[in-house]
Amino acid sequence: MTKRHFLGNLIFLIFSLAVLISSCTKLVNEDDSNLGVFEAFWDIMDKNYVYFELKELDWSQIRKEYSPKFASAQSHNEVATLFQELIYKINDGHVWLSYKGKEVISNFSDTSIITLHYNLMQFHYQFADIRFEPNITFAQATDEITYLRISTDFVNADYFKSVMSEYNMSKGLIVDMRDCMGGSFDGLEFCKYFHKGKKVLCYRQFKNGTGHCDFTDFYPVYSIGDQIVNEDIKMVVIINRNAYSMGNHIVSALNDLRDCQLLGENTGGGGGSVLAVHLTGGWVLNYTFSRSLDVNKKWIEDGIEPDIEVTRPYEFWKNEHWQTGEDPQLEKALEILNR
Amino acid sequence: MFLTIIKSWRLIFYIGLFQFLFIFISQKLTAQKHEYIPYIGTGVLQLKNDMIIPMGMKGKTILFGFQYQRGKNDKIRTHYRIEARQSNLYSSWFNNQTLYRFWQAELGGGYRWYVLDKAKTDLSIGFEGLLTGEYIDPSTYNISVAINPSMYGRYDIGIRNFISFNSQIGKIKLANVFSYHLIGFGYYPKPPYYSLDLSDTSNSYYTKPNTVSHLFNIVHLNNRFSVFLKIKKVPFLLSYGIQYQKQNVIHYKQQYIQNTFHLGLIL
Repeated sequence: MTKRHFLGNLIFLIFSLAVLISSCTKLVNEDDSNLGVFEAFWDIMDKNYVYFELKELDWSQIRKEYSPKFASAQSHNEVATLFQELIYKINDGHVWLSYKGKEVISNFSDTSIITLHYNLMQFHYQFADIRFEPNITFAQATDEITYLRISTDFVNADYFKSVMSEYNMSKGLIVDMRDCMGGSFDGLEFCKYFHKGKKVLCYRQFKNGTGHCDFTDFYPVYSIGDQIVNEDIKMVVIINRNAYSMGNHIVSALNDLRDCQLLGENTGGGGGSVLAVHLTGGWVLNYTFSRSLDVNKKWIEDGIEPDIEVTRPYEFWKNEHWQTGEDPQLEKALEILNR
Repeated sequence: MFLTIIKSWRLIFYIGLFQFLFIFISQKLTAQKHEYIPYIGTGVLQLKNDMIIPMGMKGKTILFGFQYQRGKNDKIRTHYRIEARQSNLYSSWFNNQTLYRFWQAELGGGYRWYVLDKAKTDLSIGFEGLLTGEYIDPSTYNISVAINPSMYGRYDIGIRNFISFNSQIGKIKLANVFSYHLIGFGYYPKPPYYSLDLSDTSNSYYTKPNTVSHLFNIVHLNNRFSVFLKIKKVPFLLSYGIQYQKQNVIHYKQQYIQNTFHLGLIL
């Protein structure tokens, strides 16, 4: 063999080996058939979703039932309808799908949920010194009662302290958590304004295996308090079904941290954190990858019950409330603090 | 785990076999000089990450690096190198737009011992101390199609073992370096993923090592074949590299295979 031949053979050998190694390892799943998308969805949920037990989901049965349906689906609409059915069965607001960033299939398609008309409500009850800031509203509900509402993450201790010092809370504070539908886990830092010292806000658990019951121990989540709102200030927290996820976590933590009263209706739940992953075919899946418990290690996924229940039918909120700003939950909170 | 070990060792076996053949077919040994090699490169990547990219994605890589090798000094030779790579991971279902950017960086230096030292062939084994880092970051396009897509990152300070082979054939010098991760420590994403003390900054959590990495939980294999040429008295090199990595720290695994072509100048 000449040196030239040898060199040629050698290079060929090296490239063959490299191609062999590369081709042996297939890491990308490109099956975008309807069944392929469903299988990807099923598999990711199977390995990583955290609430199979709590939701009493027979995941194997779901695969058995839905595989033929997805395999025979003829159109995108049929696939979307099947996914919507599945999302309702899972019944977890943190599990939803989107298609190419446009179409969203979620558990929030429930038309019986309505958000409140806060501006009208504040006008109706003649709130003073209203201060709208991104994600937070401050107001003087009566001369001696302060009103506070957060809509999502709010963390700015210095600002919070300086603003709160301008309001009179001698009879109490209303924290309105209604329609606080979520944010990031860091949003729980809002709780630090209401306590002092290092306190546990909640516990978290993560998967440590692919089995439905493979979980880590409980990890405590700590907050170091700023105590901007003193412990002796009476507090009422107003809640409704739209207090979800981060809102639900904050309600749970405030309830454990302070001697406050929860008023209104059950929170919507959402006890966990979400991961977004790409399936095939342009679908994106969001699922709950960690679960949270309150300081007594009770689940908060199904929501938190109020101490004082004040409910009104959907029609009331849709009609009277949206036309006049009337708010029986706020009225009850004012009544409690005025006693 | 067992399957992983078998697969990894099968890969090591193939590359070892290739090196074995190489030793036998090469003949003489050449004296080495100090080499300063800046290089650039491009390539392709397949990456799968159970946590954020479970279906896997393809990517296009660009890289640059710098390598220094000290001339032979009896039986020991030192080197250092730095390399940075960026891969754009895309999806055909989203108009081939970049969904994630995958960043890799390596900074290392080491010693080698010559176990075979002939006129035109040499074989050395060595250890390389390395700081490696990886980061996967969702693009703005991804953020527009997925709500809060997550990021992922890790770093490792460790030791790699390598086997290097050089051979002079006529005017061309061939070199092959195969390396694998031996042991190290660093931060790898695993529960609880971020600081549990909400008042802490996340940085203090991420900078604290949480994992001891070793051959069986981090399989990292890297092979680079280079041809040193001279055209019009300008020495340069062409390389082909293949890198395979499998992180098995928790049940969320990460795997990638990356093929790259490099072009460097020898100064």
